[in-house]
Amino acid sequence: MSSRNELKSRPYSVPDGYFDSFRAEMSRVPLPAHTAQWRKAAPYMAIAASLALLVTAGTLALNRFSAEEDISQEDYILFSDNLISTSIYEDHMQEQIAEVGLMDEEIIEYLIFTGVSPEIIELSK
Amino acid sequence: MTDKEIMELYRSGSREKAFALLVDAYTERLYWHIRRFACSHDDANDLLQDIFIKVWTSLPTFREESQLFTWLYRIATNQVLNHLRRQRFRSLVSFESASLMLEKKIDEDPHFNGDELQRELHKAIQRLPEKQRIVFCFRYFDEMKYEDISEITDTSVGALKASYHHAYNKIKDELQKKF
Repeated sequence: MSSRNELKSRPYSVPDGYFDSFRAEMSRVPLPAHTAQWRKAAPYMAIAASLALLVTAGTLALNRFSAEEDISQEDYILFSDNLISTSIYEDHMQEQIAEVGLMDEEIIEYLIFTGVSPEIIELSK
Repeated sequence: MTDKEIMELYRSGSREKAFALLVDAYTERLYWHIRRFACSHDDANDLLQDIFIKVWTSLPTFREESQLFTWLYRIATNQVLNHLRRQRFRSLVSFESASLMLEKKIDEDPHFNGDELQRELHKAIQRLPEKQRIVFCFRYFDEMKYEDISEITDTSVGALKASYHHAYNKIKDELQKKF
């Protein structure tokens, strides 16, 4: 592989006159005003706030549910064994996400903005 | 015009003019850098436009502690990484393999004019983990110095050498199996 120099050559072409037309196109693109860094993060902060709110609401709902039941730790463990893991919590989250109307693309942009790697999601599946 | 002169023009207040000169100087170089990852001309074109918009919005934060060239490549590489991550996330939603989608793009690309060995090489690159892919392309095709790659990717030279070694061997093995 190291001795095959033809492998290092570009196996791609571009349409005729592409670079000139790209430069011309770029000169017509309306350039956004220079804004403060925090303004760029605002939409992602809004999504983060929505998710944080959902988590808080879900946790409070679960705490209230378990506080109403005066059960011993032993009963609690037995009861937990009969539950599908985090099903109440997940259902609640799914409903809330549907209500807030977060789209896949918005969630993807948020994950990218926060630096979550796709490998982590793949591993958790 | 040199990078230094472009930045002097920018600082003097002729921002749009300086930016136009920067686009003139770097369009081709950045296009060929991102083309290997985008796998299609249309995706590379969209990415390049996004990169220049990002460059424009980030110019006020450029402190000139690094060279303009490495700063631009860092922005381009980050945009490429985000593009690849976006595709991986989308593939998770649609249950399609991201690397298979990219390989398909190479097969369907009307602007790909390499031979079979080059086609398989570029497909094998798409199967590498993100960072190995970036290091491999910088080092193998552009023959860039590890020190420059380190500045662009914010990764230590030692880690880059290890990544390149793994990537090179994986690709070599894959090509040897097929040819």
